[in-house]
Amino acid sequence: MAKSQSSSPAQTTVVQTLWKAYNDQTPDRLKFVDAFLFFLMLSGIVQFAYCVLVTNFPFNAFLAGFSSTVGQFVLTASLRSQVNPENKDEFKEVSPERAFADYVLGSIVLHFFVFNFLG
Amino acid sequence: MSTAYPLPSGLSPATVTNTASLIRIVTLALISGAAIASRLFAVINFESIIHEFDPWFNFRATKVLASQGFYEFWNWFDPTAWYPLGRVVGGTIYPGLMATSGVIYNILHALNLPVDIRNICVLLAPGFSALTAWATYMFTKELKDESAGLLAAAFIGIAPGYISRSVAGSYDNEAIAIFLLMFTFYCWIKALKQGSAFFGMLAGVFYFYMVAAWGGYAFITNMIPLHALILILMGRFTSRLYVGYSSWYAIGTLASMQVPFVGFQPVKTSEHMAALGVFGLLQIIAFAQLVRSHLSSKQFQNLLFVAVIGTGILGSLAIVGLTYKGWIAPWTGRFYSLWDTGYAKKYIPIIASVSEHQPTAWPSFFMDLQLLMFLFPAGVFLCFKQLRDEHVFVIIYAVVGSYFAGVMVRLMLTLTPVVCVSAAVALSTLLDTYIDPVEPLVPEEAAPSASGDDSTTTSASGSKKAKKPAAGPTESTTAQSTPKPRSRPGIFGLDTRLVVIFNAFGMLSFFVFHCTWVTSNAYSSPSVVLASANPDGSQHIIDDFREAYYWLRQNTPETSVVMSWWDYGYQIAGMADRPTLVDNNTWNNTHIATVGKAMSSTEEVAYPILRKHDVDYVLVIFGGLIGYSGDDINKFLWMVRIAQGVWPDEIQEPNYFTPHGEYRVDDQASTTMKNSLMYKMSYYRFAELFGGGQAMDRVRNQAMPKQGPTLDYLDEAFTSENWIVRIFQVKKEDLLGRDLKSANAFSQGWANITGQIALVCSIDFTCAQMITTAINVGTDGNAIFNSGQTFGLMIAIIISHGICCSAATKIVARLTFYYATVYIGATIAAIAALLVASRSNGVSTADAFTLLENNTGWKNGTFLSFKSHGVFLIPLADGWAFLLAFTAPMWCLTGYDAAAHISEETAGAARSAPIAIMTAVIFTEVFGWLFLISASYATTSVDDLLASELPLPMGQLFLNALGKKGMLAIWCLLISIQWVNGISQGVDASRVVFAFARDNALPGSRWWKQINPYTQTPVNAVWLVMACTVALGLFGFSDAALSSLAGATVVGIYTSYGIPIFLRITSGRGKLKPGPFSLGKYYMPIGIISVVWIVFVEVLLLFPYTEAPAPIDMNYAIVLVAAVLLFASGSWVLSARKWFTGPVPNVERDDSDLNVTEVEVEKDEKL
Repeated sequence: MAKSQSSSPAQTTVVQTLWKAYNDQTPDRLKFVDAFLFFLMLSGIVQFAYCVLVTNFPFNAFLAGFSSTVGQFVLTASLRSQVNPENKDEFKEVSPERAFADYVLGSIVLHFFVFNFLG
Repeated sequence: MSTAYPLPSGLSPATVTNTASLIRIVTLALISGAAIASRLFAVINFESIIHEFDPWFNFRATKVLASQGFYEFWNWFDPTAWYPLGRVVGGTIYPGLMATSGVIYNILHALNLPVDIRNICVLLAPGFSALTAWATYMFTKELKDESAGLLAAAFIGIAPGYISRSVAGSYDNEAIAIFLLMFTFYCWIKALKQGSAFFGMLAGVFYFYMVAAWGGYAFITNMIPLHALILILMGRFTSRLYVGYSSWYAIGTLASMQVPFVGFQPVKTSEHMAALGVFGLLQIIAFAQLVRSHLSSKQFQNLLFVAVIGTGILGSLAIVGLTYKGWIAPWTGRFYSLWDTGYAKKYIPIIASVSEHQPTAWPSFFMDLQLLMFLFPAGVFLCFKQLRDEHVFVIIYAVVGSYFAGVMVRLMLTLTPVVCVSAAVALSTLLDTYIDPVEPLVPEEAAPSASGDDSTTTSASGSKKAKKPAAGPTESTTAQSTPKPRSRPGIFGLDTRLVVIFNAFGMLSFFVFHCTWVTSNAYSSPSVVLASANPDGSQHIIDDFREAYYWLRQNTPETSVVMSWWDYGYQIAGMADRPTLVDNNTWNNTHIATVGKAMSSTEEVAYPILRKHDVDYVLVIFGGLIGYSGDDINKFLWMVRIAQGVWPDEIQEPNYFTPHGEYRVDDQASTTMKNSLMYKMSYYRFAELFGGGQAMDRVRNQAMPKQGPTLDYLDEAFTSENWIVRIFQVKKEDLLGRDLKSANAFSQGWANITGQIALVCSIDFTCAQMITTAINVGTDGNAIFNSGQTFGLMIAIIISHGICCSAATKIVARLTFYYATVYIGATIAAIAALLVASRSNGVSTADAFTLLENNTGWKNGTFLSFKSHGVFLIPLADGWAFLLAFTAPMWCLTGYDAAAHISEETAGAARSAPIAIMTAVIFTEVFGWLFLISASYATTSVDDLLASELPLPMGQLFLNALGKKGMLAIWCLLISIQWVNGISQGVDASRVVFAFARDNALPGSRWWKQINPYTQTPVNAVWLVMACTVALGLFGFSDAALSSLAGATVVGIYTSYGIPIFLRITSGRGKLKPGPFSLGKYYMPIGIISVVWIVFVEVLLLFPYTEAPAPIDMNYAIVLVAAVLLFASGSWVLSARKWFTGPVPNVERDDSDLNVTEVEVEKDEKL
């Protein structure tokens, strides 16, 4: 995201094009997933900012929280690419149902460790 | 289509598939069985025992886990390790291994299978090797096909490179780690292939297990990111890579931080930063891909990639910056030693000292991998031919693994799986080609381009034939199911096929033989128990380690601290259950260096270190007797190096070499080497073992000097059967505190020395008197000697004694031995003569035993009647006289410590000296008693005897009983005995003087402790004694002085006997370690009786002989004793406490006074 803005300011139109293309080409399901991803990213940024600006005192708690958002983010991103119809050729053996099951299982395992680490 | 050999027809494809999978399963089961079975050599050849060093700690921890539960284990603080520091075990170990065993243990017990935890630990590694074979099968299957998978499983199952770390009993982290490594890699490949988050998650979970199990997890932590990075650089980024890597990293990293020993390292140390960096890179690339999918501008894409690369550079700069600022821990020493093989030796000797951290010698590649070693490159080459993502992984693994295996011996272990996989791919390709029955179509042009993927997929269906080449021809029937008429390179005819297959089969057979041989001969030794071959070829078990550890366990208090080199720490803790200073967990370099310093310093330097650390026992491993090369002398230079790292001023490695730079232990060994504690302990009494022959150190093949080292501050406590383990006890400073002990030894020595010299004097004086008596009798009373003449005679005797005592000990010994028989014979003769004579001219038995004549000066007193013992109605004064009579036998009963005084010149003194003393006591008792009885019979009137003109009343007794001739005959015999008696007492006294001088306790000790090089006796000391004797002989001019001297003598000697006994039963109780000869539990009553008796008799001895003594007949013994003790104490207070450090029990050390003084002064300064 930072990159698209770092590109030359004269090309703000590029960002607009991108946004338009995204809106047009992306199925609603994926937009929903993207919304969740965006939320997770915000949550991670807030936590990181807190850690840097205020305190990192219970470092394990910070790591647990931050890992939870990062982990959930990458798992969701994985789900997104697996169910993305454009990627059908790449994921021959992973049907969307299977992808969702993997996603749920992965999240459970992730949060098992997160829960263990919070304490 | 032509085939090379006929194929059965009419089989349905389903049958073929089912049969193939059945055979696969059976084969895998057989491979697992072979993998387990070949690891059981250790149990069959030896026993079900935990091996080596680290496994003993793991085993001990597992026992805690199994018996006390997981929470206790987690919070376990072990106070016995790293004494006195202790160790937080729960937070400093990889608990995966113990947890695995604990889970298995609990499951089996839940199933009512009461399996011993030891057997679970012993058999864990073989069990997991079967799982490793399965994981390798799965991994290789992804790479090529099932047939290659089966071959790889068979290879890893029996490859010595892996067996070396996983035989039964090798209960170490690697036992389960290789399975976890292979399975994690399999999951990663699978996740990458399918783009499956499930497999990514599985890889993460198994990565977590791996982190919990082995420090080698860093290999995975860096292999997978490296693979991902190279794929990205190859332009092979896919969403599958993103899914696989992200799910692995996110879950795996978080999970790995749950292990307390790892903690926050994954986000804080450089070793883990590569994984994080690749993770970030993947996020950026994935985002860029997403953006790209919505745009088509080529230019814009380029811009994006520039941004990506820029961000990557920024990120790595940030990591470098963070490392620089200390936010991220820099690389650890172990890591550096991977890149620079000389690094460890230079900077961290503690790592370099471990044999498994040494660079690998090339023969060990062949030893561990044999056939696989040259199939390996072929397999890697075949990977290049296909180069799918997983092949890239294998190639990277092969390169990295080969490099690491070359750097460190132990990393051969991580190379072995990839070698097995590659070799299996190569061999399976070979067999596929040559077993395939399809012959190429002759004339048509070959289509080599199609030979890539197609050939492998087609031959895959005929896979089962490849797993066992022997079964190939019969099973190759299924190859019929490859009906593709594609022309491709192939083999014509049966002969070529047979030659190649037969050859391959032969190589594989050799491989199996090699693996079995290596496993049974090289890798199955538990190291705790050693094996050697008897002359007839049968196995001889050397069990010194356990012998010694159990000795410690059973013979020392539970709190005894044992110091040894760190290799043996875990074993001592595990088998002997005693606290150790250092152990195999090498976290505290300084502590280890302290032990190294103690081992490589002189005794004087080491002793304060040992005392400061409460060390009770020092344990060394010595292989010189049976040729066990892994002993401490061979490890000694590492101790020196490690100690040098901390104390470069005190310990210098070159000092331990000869001037020619050789490492020697024989005559030419450097002085520093010879004086080091380790050298002394190793070779202490080693030469004695060869009974005068040439002592040989069989490890270093060097002839040892005949005169071995001596130990002053340590006592040998235990040496095992083959001398492999030697345990030394650190001497306590003393029983009452160091200074007191020295003081006691000091006054004890003075008391003894006075007594000894006085005894010589009295013996010689008596001898002179006996001679004058004989002359008197012989001349019928015409020749009467006055005091001056007697004194002259005595001086003559003393001089003759001095000459005899200066003679070599051997001559004296022969003389005394000869006279011992004469002595006994003469005593018996005298007793018999007196008894025979008394029958005609003596008293009745009643008189002899009960008549009491009081000739002492104590005449007055009332009657004191003991009503209960009606028989004994004794007047008080007579009672006192009766008591005084006790003092007479004390004369006979001294000097029996003579044996102890010359014990340093005696072989096996620890046992023979006390026996000699006891024998002496019993003989003196019996013969003295018999003699007194016979004398009582022969005595008709005491008054007559006392009125005799003869100097010795005893002479009159003999004269009365036997007549002149009889008396002279016996008397001459007795004179000669008395004279020899004087010699032995003179020797005794001079040795005491010498010993005391050697301890630097006499004025002019330098003189008195010199040994005459010709006679090998302390000539100076002898003549000192003789001079003193002459001086004391002057007392002979006065009766009172003489008897006072007599009393003082006995008091002095008995005081010196009494002090150690008193300490033994009071403050020294329990502190003394009994020698080979001891009174056992009776020491207490015997000791109490002795002390009471000594006090009683000494009081009696100090009493005057009359009620109201005039100055002329006073007993001046108390004055003499007091004078001696006053002099000794004064001397102690004024000067001796500065230099007298207690007895120095060795004859050789002439320079000891110098060293002792230095140490003593140093100690004072510190205090």
